[in-house]
Amino acid sequence: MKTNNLKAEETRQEKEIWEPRIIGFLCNWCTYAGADLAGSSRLKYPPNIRVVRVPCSGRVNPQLIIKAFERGFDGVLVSGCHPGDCHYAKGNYFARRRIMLLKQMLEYMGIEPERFHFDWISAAEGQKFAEVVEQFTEQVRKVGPFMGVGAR
Amino acid sequence: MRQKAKELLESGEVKVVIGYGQGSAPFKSTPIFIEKPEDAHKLIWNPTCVNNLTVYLRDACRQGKAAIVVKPCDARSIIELIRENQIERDDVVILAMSCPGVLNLDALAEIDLADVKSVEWHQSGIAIKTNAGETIIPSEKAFASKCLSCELAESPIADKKFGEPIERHPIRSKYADIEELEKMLPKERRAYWARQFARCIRCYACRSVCPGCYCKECFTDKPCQLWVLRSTDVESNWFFHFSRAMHTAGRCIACGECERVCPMGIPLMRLNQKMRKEVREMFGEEAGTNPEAPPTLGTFDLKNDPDPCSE
Repeated sequence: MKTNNLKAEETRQEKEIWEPRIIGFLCNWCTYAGADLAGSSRLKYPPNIRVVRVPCSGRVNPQLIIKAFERGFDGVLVSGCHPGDCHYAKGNYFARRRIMLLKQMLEYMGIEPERFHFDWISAAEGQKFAEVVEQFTEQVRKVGPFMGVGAR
Repeated sequence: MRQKAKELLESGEVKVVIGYGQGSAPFKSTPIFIEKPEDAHKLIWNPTCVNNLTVYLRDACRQGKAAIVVKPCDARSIIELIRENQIERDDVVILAMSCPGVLNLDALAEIDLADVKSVEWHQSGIAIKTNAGETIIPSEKAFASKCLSCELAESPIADKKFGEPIERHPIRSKYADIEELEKMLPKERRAYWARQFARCIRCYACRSVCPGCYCKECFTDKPCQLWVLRSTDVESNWFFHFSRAMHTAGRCIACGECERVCPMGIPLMRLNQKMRKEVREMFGEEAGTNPEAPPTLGTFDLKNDPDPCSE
Protein backbone atom coordinates (compact mmCIF):
# COMPACT_ATOMS: atom_id res chain seq x y z
CA MET A 1 0.00 0.00 0.00
CA LYS A 2 2.78 2.33 1.01
CA THR A 3 4.73 1.72 -2.18
CA ASN A 4 1.56 2.41 -4.13
CA ASN A 5 1.27 5.75 -2.42
CA LEU A 6 4.87 6.58 -3.17
CA LYS A 7 4.39 5.65 -6.78
CA ALA A 8 1.28 7.76 -7.00
CA GLU A 9 3.31 10.59 -5.51
CA GLU A 10 6.00 10.14 -8.13
CA THR A 11 3.60 10.05 -11.06
CA ARG A 12 1.87 13.10 -9.75
CA GLN A 13 5.20 14.83 -9.59
CA GLU A 14 6.00 13.80 -13.14
CA LYS A 15 2.74 15.17 -14.37
CA GLU A 16 3.40 18.32 -12.38
CA ILE A 17 0.06 18.21 -10.68
CA TRP A 18 1.82 18.85 -7.42
CA GLU A 19 1.65 22.41 -6.25
CA PRO A 20 3.69 23.61 -3.28
CA ARG A 21 1.66 24.22 -0.16
CA ILE A 22 3.03 27.19 1.71
CA ILE A 23 1.93 28.69 5.00
CA GLY A 24 2.72 32.30 5.80
CA PHE A 25 2.75 33.87 9.26
CA LEU A 26 2.36 37.57 8.65
CA CYS A 27 2.52 40.40 11.14
CA ASN A 28 -0.74 42.31 11.38
CA TRP A 29 0.84 45.77 11.24
CA CYS A 30 3.25 45.45 8.34
CA THR A 31 3.31 42.39 6.17
CA TYR A 32 -0.38 41.60 6.38
CA ALA A 33 -1.13 45.16 5.35
CA GLY A 34 1.54 44.77 2.66
CA ALA A 35 -0.27 41.69 1.38
CA ASP A 36 -3.48 43.70 1.43
CA LEU A 37 -1.84 46.39 -0.60
CA ALA A 38 -0.59 43.82 -3.11
CA GLY A 39 -4.17 42.64 -3.43
CA SER A 40 -5.76 46.05 -3.78
CA SER A 41 -3.09 47.07 -6.29
CA ARG A 42 -4.10 44.02 -8.35
CA LEU A 43 -0.59 42.57 -8.24
CA LYS A 44 -0.34 38.95 -9.24
CA TYR A 45 1.33 36.39 -7.00
CA PRO A 46 1.03 32.60 -6.75
CA PRO A 47 -2.03 31.27 -4.91
CA ASN A 48 0.07 28.67 -3.08
CA ILE A 49 0.37 30.67 0.11
CA ARG A 50 -2.09 30.35 2.98
CA VAL A 51 -1.85 33.32 5.25
CA VAL A 52 -2.15 33.31 9.02
CA ARG A 53 -2.37 36.75 10.54
CA VAL A 54 -0.42 37.16 13.78
CA PRO A 55 -0.22 40.30 15.93
CA CYS A 56 3.56 40.56 15.56
CA SER A 57 6.45 38.54 14.20
CA GLY A 58 7.39 38.19 17.88
CA ARG A 59 4.19 36.17 18.31
CA VAL A 60 5.52 33.50 15.97
CA ASN A 61 6.28 30.75 18.40
CA PRO A 62 8.89 28.43 16.87
CA GLN A 63 6.42 25.66 17.62
CA LEU A 64 4.05 27.05 15.00
CA ILE A 65 6.71 26.59 12.36
CA ILE A 66 7.77 23.20 13.65
CA LYS A 67 4.12 22.16 13.63
CA ALA A 68 3.66 23.36 10.05
CA PHE A 69 6.48 21.11 8.89
CA GLU A 70 5.25 18.26 11.02
CA ARG A 71 1.88 18.54 9.29
CA GLY A 72 3.61 18.39 5.94
CA PHE A 73 3.66 21.92 4.57
CA ASP A 74 6.17 22.27 1.76
CA GLY A 75 7.32 25.71 2.84
CA VAL A 76 6.91 28.25 5.64
CA LEU A 77 7.16 32.00 5.24
CA VAL A 78 7.43 34.33 8.22
CA SER A 79 7.41 38.05 7.78
CA GLY A 80 7.13 41.14 9.92
CA CYS A 81 8.02 44.80 10.22
CA HIS A 82 11.52 46.02 9.44
CA PRO A 83 13.84 46.30 12.46
CA GLY A 84 13.01 49.52 14.21
CA ASP A 85 9.48 49.68 12.79
CA CYS A 86 7.77 47.23 15.13
CA HIS A 87 4.35 48.32 16.34
CA TYR A 88 5.31 46.95 19.74
CA ALA A 89 8.73 48.62 19.59
CA LYS A 90 10.87 45.50 19.92
CA GLY A 91 8.83 42.40 19.12
CA ASN A 92 10.67 41.77 15.89
CA TYR A 93 14.05 41.91 17.63
CA PHE A 94 13.02 38.99 19.83
CA ALA A 95 11.67 37.27 16.73
CA ARG A 96 14.98 37.77 14.97
CA ARG A 97 16.93 35.84 17.61
CA ARG A 98 14.43 33.04 17.80
CA ILE A 99 14.01 32.66 14.06
CA MET A 100 17.76 32.70 13.50
CA LEU A 101 18.16 29.84 15.95
CA LEU A 102 15.21 27.96 14.53
CA LYS A 103 16.56 28.35 11.03
CA GLN A 104 19.81 26.64 11.96
CA MET A 105 17.96 23.91 13.79
CA LEU A 106 15.54 23.24 10.93
CA GLU A 107 18.48 22.65 8.68
CA TYR A 108 20.08 20.40 11.25
CA MET A 109 16.87 18.40 11.55
CA GLY A 110 17.06 17.75 7.85
CA ILE A 111 14.64 20.26 6.41
CA GLU A 112 16.12 21.89 3.33
CA PRO A 113 16.90 25.56 4.08
CA GLU A 114 15.01 26.52 0.90
CA ARG A 115 11.73 25.53 2.57
CA PHE A 116 11.88 28.29 5.12
CA HIS A 117 11.96 31.98 4.42
CA PHE A 118 12.00 34.99 6.65
CA ASP A 119 11.68 38.55 5.44
CA TRP A 120 10.98 42.07 6.57
CA ILE A 121 8.11 43.52 4.53
CA SER A 122 6.43 46.79 5.47
CA ALA A 123 2.83 47.88 4.86
CA ALA A 124 3.96 50.01 1.92
CA GLU A 125 5.80 47.17 0.20
CA GLY A 126 2.95 45.46 -1.67
CA GLN A 127 5.25 44.99 -4.62
CA LYS A 128 7.93 43.39 -2.47
CA PHE A 129 5.37 41.05 -0.92
CA ALA A 130 4.26 39.81 -4.33
CA GLU A 131 7.88 39.30 -5.38
CA VAL A 132 8.84 37.48 -2.20
CA VAL A 133 5.90 35.09 -2.50
CA GLU A 134 6.66 34.54 -6.17
CA GLN A 135 10.35 33.81 -5.56
CA PHE A 136 9.71 31.67 -2.51
CA THR A 137 7.08 29.57 -4.29
CA GLU A 138 9.51 28.94 -7.13
CA GLN A 139 12.23 28.06 -4.66
CA VAL A 140 9.99 25.53 -2.91
CA ARG A 141 8.81 24.15 -6.23
CA LYS A 142 12.43 23.46 -7.14
CA VAL A 143 13.11 21.48 -3.96
CA GLY A 144 10.02 19.41 -4.62
CA PRO A 145 7.34 17.97 -2.39
CA PHE A 146 8.11 17.58 1.29
CA MET A 147 7.76 13.93 2.20
CA GLY A 148 7.13 14.64 5.88
CA VAL A 149 9.33 14.43 8.91
CA GLY A 150 8.66 10.74 9.40
CA ALA A 151 9.96 9.62 6.00
CA ARG A 152 12.81 7.16 6.50
CA MET B 1 31.18 17.31 53.29
CA ARG B 2 29.18 15.22 55.75
CA GLN B 3 30.52 17.40 58.56
CA LYS B 4 29.43 20.57 56.81
CA ALA B 5 26.00 19.09 56.02
CA LYS B 6 25.61 18.15 59.67
CA GLU B 7 26.56 21.64 60.82
CA LEU B 8 24.13 23.25 58.44
CA LEU B 9 21.28 21.09 59.65
CA GLU B 10 22.19 21.44 63.32
CA SER B 11 22.34 25.20 63.18
CA GLY B 12 19.01 25.17 61.38
CA GLU B 13 20.43 27.22 58.53
CA VAL B 14 19.00 24.83 55.99
CA LYS B 15 15.92 22.63 56.12
CA VAL B 16 17.22 19.96 53.83
CA VAL B 17 20.46 18.74 52.31
CA ILE B 18 20.11 17.24 48.84
CA GLY B 19 22.89 14.79 48.14
CA TYR B 20 23.84 11.35 46.94
CA GLY B 21 23.17 8.25 48.99
CA GLN B 22 24.02 4.60 48.56
CA GLY B 23 21.86 3.06 45.86
CA SER B 24 20.53 -0.46 45.52
CA ALA B 25 23.97 -1.72 44.53
CA PRO B 26 27.55 -0.55 45.20
CA PHE B 27 27.85 0.76 41.66
CA LYS B 28 24.73 2.89 41.93
CA SER B 29 23.87 5.99 43.90
CA THR B 30 20.50 7.52 44.58
CA PRO B 31 19.41 11.07 45.37
CA ILE B 32 18.70 11.53 49.07
CA PHE B 33 17.13 14.33 51.05
CA ILE B 34 18.57 14.68 54.55
CA GLU B 35 16.52 16.56 57.09
CA LYS B 36 18.06 15.37 60.38
CA PRO B 37 21.68 16.08 61.36
CA GLU B 38 22.17 12.48 62.53
CA ASP B 39 21.46 11.22 59.02
CA ALA B 40 24.31 13.20 57.48
CA HIS B 41 26.57 10.12 57.44
CA LYS B 42 24.35 8.68 54.69
CA LEU B 43 25.82 11.10 52.19
CA ILE B 44 28.32 9.57 49.83
CA TRP B 45 30.68 10.92 47.18
CA ASN B 46 32.22 8.63 44.57
CA PRO B 47 32.20 8.08 40.78
CA THR B 48 28.67 6.66 40.89
CA CYS B 49 27.20 10.09 41.72
CA VAL B 50 25.96 10.73 38.21
CA ASN B 51 22.58 12.41 38.73
CA ASN B 52 22.12 16.13 38.31
CA LEU B 53 20.42 16.90 41.63
CA THR B 54 19.53 20.47 40.77
CA VAL B 55 16.31 19.20 39.24
CA TYR B 56 14.96 18.97 42.83
CA LEU B 57 16.15 22.40 43.84
CA ARG B 58 13.12 24.43 42.84
CA ASP B 59 10.73 22.40 44.95
CA ALA B 60 13.16 22.21 47.86
CA CYS B 61 13.72 25.98 47.93
CA ARG B 62 10.01 26.60 48.13
CA GLN B 63 9.99 24.79 51.50
CA GLY B 64 12.89 26.82 52.86
CA LYS B 65 16.61 27.14 52.46
CA ALA B 66 18.27 24.07 51.02
CA ALA B 67 21.82 22.82 50.68
CA ILE B 68 22.85 20.81 47.68
CA VAL B 69 25.84 18.66 46.76
CA VAL B 70 26.92 19.38 43.20
CA LYS B 71 29.49 18.48 40.62
CA PRO B 72 31.02 21.44 38.75
CA CYS B 73 28.87 20.70 35.69
CA ASP B 74 25.66 20.56 37.74
CA ALA B 75 26.53 23.84 39.42
CA ARG B 76 25.93 25.49 36.08
CA SER B 77 22.29 24.42 36.32
CA ILE B 78 22.03 26.43 39.54
CA ILE B 79 23.39 29.46 37.72
CA GLU B 80 20.71 28.94 35.07
CA LEU B 81 17.94 28.63 37.67
CA ILE B 82 19.08 31.86 39.33
CA ARG B 83 19.38 33.57 35.96
CA GLU B 84 15.81 32.66 35.10
CA ASN B 85 14.42 33.68 38.50
CA GLN B 86 13.46 30.17 39.48
CA ILE B 87 15.37 30.29 42.75
CA GLU B 88 17.05 32.97 44.83
CA ARG B 89 20.78 32.82 45.34
CA ASP B 90 20.22 33.24 49.11
CA ASP B 91 17.90 30.23 49.27
CA VAL B 92 20.58 27.73 48.42
CA VAL B 93 23.83 26.60 49.99
CA ILE B 94 26.05 25.08 47.34
CA LEU B 95 28.41 22.35 48.49
CA ALA B 96 30.66 22.06 45.46
CA MET B 97 32.65 18.89 45.06
CA SER B 98 35.74 18.48 42.98
CA CYS B 99 35.01 15.81 40.40
CA PRO B 100 37.44 13.90 38.17
CA GLY B 101 34.53 12.45 36.18
CA VAL B 102 31.59 10.14 36.75
CA LEU B 103 31.10 6.49 35.98
CA ASN B 104 29.77 5.30 32.66
CA LEU B 105 27.77 2.19 33.55
CA ASP B 106 28.63 0.59 30.22
CA ALA B 107 32.22 0.35 31.42
CA LEU B 108 31.14 -2.35 33.86
CA ALA B 109 29.98 -4.66 31.09
CA GLU B 110 32.83 -7.14 31.60
CA ILE B 111 32.59 -7.20 35.36
CA ASP B 112 30.37 -9.47 37.42
CA LEU B 113 28.03 -6.88 38.88
CA ALA B 114 26.93 -9.04 41.81
CA ASP B 115 30.55 -9.16 42.87
CA VAL B 116 31.25 -5.42 42.99
CA LYS B 117 32.25 -4.14 46.42
CA SER B 118 33.09 -0.52 45.75
CA VAL B 119 33.76 2.01 43.04
CA GLU B 120 36.48 4.57 43.68
CA TRP B 121 38.47 7.15 41.77
CA HIS B 122 41.97 6.20 40.76
CA GLN B 123 44.66 8.40 39.27
CA SER B 124 44.31 6.74 35.87
CA GLY B 125 40.56 6.17 35.85
CA ILE B 126 38.16 4.33 38.10
CA ALA B 127 39.03 1.44 40.38
CA ILE B 128 36.40 -1.26 40.84
CA LYS B 129 36.92 -3.48 43.88
CA THR B 130 35.47 -6.96 43.66
CA ASN B 131 35.95 -10.14 45.68
CA ALA B 132 38.51 -11.20 43.11
CA GLY B 133 40.55 -8.05 43.55
CA GLU B 134 40.79 -4.62 42.04
CA THR B 135 40.20 -3.74 38.40
CA ILE B 136 41.25 -0.36 37.10
CA ILE B 137 39.27 0.92 34.15
CA PRO B 138 41.15 3.61 32.17
CA SER B 139 39.57 7.10 32.00
CA GLU B 140 38.54 6.97 28.32
CA LYS B 141 36.39 3.95 29.04
CA ALA B 142 35.34 4.54 32.61
CA PHE B 143 33.99 8.08 32.40
CA ALA B 144 30.76 9.29 30.88
CA SER B 145 31.25 10.89 27.48
CA LYS B 146 30.45 14.38 28.83
CA CYS B 147 33.37 14.03 31.26
CA LEU B 148 35.78 13.33 28.43
CA SER B 149 35.12 16.77 26.98
CA CYS B 150 34.75 18.54 30.35
CA GLU B 151 36.67 21.79 30.73
CA LEU B 152 35.56 22.76 34.23
CA ALA B 153 38.40 22.73 36.74
CA GLU B 154 36.07 23.66 39.57
CA SER B 155 32.54 24.72 40.28
CA PRO B 156 31.69 28.13 38.79
CA ILE B 157 29.47 28.91 41.79
CA ALA B 158 29.90 27.67 45.35
CA ASP B 159 29.47 28.42 49.04
CA LYS B 160 31.91 25.78 50.17
CA LYS B 161 34.31 23.88 47.97
CA PHE B 162 35.60 20.41 48.76
CA GLY B 163 38.70 18.97 47.15
CA GLU B 164 41.28 20.55 44.91
CA PRO B 165 40.55 22.03 41.47
CA ILE B 166 41.27 19.50 38.75
CA GLU B 167 43.48 20.15 35.78
CA ARG B 168 41.49 19.35 32.67
CA HIS B 169 42.77 17.84 29.47
CA PRO B 170 39.68 17.16 27.34
CA ILE B 171 40.38 14.10 25.22
CA ARG B 172 37.29 14.46 23.09
CA SER B 173 35.76 17.36 21.20
CA LYS B 174 32.40 18.53 22.55
CA TYR B 175 31.01 18.78 19.07
CA ALA B 176 32.48 15.58 17.63
CA ASP B 177 29.08 13.89 17.28
CA ILE B 178 27.26 16.77 15.71
CA GLU B 179 29.97 17.55 13.19
CA GLU B 180 29.47 14.10 11.79
CA LEU B 181 25.76 14.84 11.37
CA GLU B 182 26.39 18.27 9.91
CA LYS B 183 28.29 16.71 7.04
CA MET B 184 25.25 14.74 5.87
CA LEU B 185 22.77 15.89 3.25
CA PRO B 186 19.52 17.36 4.62
CA LYS B 187 17.65 14.32 3.35
CA GLU B 188 19.94 11.93 5.18
CA ARG B 189 19.70 13.94 8.37
CA ARG B 190 15.91 13.90 8.19
CA ALA B 191 15.95 10.15 7.79
CA TYR B 192 18.43 9.87 10.64
CA TRP B 193 16.19 11.77 13.04
CA ALA B 194 13.09 9.94 11.83
CA ARG B 195 14.82 6.66 12.67
CA GLN B 196 15.83 7.95 16.10
CA PHE B 197 12.43 9.38 17.01
CA ALA B 198 10.56 6.35 15.70
CA ARG B 199 11.91 4.55 18.77
CA CYS B 200 10.73 7.16 21.28
CA ILE B 201 7.99 5.87 23.59
CA ARG B 202 7.36 9.35 25.03
CA CYS B 203 7.88 8.30 28.63
CA TYR B 204 8.96 11.92 29.22
CA ALA B 205 11.91 10.80 31.33
CA CYS B 206 14.06 13.33 29.46
CA ARG B 207 11.68 16.07 30.49
CA SER B 208 11.38 14.96 34.12
CA VAL B 209 15.10 14.77 34.69
CA CYS B 210 15.93 18.09 33.03
CA PRO B 211 16.62 21.00 35.43
CA GLY B 212 15.78 23.37 32.58
CA CYS B 213 12.32 21.86 32.02
CA TYR B 214 10.58 23.51 34.91
CA CYS B 215 7.22 24.55 33.43
CA LYS B 216 4.37 23.76 35.79
CA GLU B 217 2.40 22.37 32.93
CA CYS B 218 4.14 21.15 29.82
CA PHE B 219 2.64 21.85 26.41
CA THR B 220 2.41 18.10 25.88
CA ASP B 221 0.10 17.74 28.87
CA LYS B 222 -2.49 20.26 27.78
CA PRO B 223 -5.40 18.25 26.43
CA CYS B 224 -7.04 21.31 24.90
CA GLN B 225 -4.02 22.12 22.75
CA LEU B 226 -3.24 19.23 20.49
CA TRP B 227 0.42 20.03 19.95
CA VAL B 228 1.28 16.37 20.09
CA LEU B 229 -0.92 13.33 19.83
CA ARG B 230 -1.43 11.14 22.88
CA SER B 231 -0.20 8.20 20.87
CA THR B 232 3.40 7.95 19.78
CA ASP B 233 4.05 8.36 16.11
CA VAL B 234 7.18 9.64 14.44
CA GLU B 235 5.67 13.04 13.69
CA SER B 236 4.53 13.73 17.25
CA ASN B 237 7.80 12.45 18.66
CA TRP B 238 9.71 14.64 16.25
CA PHE B 239 7.63 17.61 17.24
CA PHE B 240 8.08 16.93 20.95
CA HIS B 241 11.86 16.59 20.83
CA PHE B 242 12.36 19.51 18.49
CA SER B 243 10.16 21.75 20.64
CA ARG B 244 11.89 20.66 23.80
CA ALA B 245 15.23 21.52 22.27
CA MET B 246 13.92 24.98 21.33
CA HIS B 247 12.51 25.46 24.83
CA THR B 248 15.81 24.67 26.50
CA ALA B 249 17.76 26.83 24.05
CA GLY B 250 20.14 29.06 25.95
CA ARG B 251 19.55 27.25 29.21
CA CYS B 252 20.75 23.75 28.44
CA ILE B 253 24.06 23.24 30.22
CA ALA B 254 24.71 19.87 28.59
CA CYS B 255 24.62 17.80 31.77
CA GLY B 256 23.57 14.95 29.51
CA GLU B 257 20.88 13.68 31.87
CA CYS B 258 18.18 13.43 29.16
CA GLU B 259 20.32 11.13 27.09
CA ARG B 260 21.40 9.08 30.11
CA VAL B 261 17.86 8.35 31.30
CA CYS B 262 16.42 7.62 27.86
CA PRO B 263 15.28 4.00 27.92
CA MET B 264 15.43 3.84 24.13
CA GLY B 265 18.93 5.26 23.82
CA ILE B 266 18.02 8.24 21.65
CA PRO B 267 21.07 10.51 21.21
CA LEU B 268 19.38 13.63 22.53
CA MET B 269 22.65 15.40 23.24
CA ARG B 270 23.23 15.64 19.53
CA LEU B 271 20.25 17.97 19.49
CA ASN B 272 21.21 19.94 22.58
CA GLN B 273 24.86 20.32 21.72
CA LYS B 274 23.93 21.69 18.32
CA MET B 275 21.68 24.24 20.00
CA ARG B 276 24.45 25.20 22.38
CA LYS B 277 26.88 25.55 19.53
CA GLU B 278 24.53 27.83 17.60
CA VAL B 279 23.76 29.97 20.66
CA ARG B 280 27.46 30.37 21.29
CA GLU B 281 28.30 31.20 17.70
CA MET B 282 25.43 33.59 17.04
CA PHE B 283 24.92 35.30 20.38
CA GLY B 284 28.25 34.60 22.05
CA GLU B 285 26.58 33.16 25.10
CA GLU B 286 27.19 30.05 27.09
CA ALA B 287 24.56 28.75 29.48
CA GLY B 288 25.62 28.39 33.08
CA THR B 289 28.30 31.02 33.29
CA ASN B 290 26.67 34.25 34.38
CA PRO B 291 23.72 34.38 36.82
CA GLU B 292 23.26 38.11 36.15
CA ALA B 293 22.76 37.87 32.39
CA PRO B 294 19.20 38.04 31.00
CA PRO B 295 17.91 34.79 29.43
CA THR B 296 19.27 34.26 25.92
CA LEU B 297 15.95 34.33 24.11
CA GLY B 298 14.43 36.90 26.46
CA THR B 299 16.69 39.64 25.24
CA PHE B 300 18.30 40.91 22.06
CA ASP B 301 21.30 42.79 20.84
CA LEU B 302 20.30 45.61 18.54
CA LYS B 303 23.56 45.80 16.66
CA ASN B 304 25.20 42.42 16.78
CA ASP B 305 22.34 39.96 16.34
CA PRO B 306 22.51 38.18 12.98
CA ASP B 307 19.70 39.01 10.59
CA PRO B 308 17.84 36.10 8.96
CA CYS B 309 17.21 38.22 5.85
CA SER B 310 20.77 39.16 5.10
CA GLU B 311 21.76 35.65 4.19
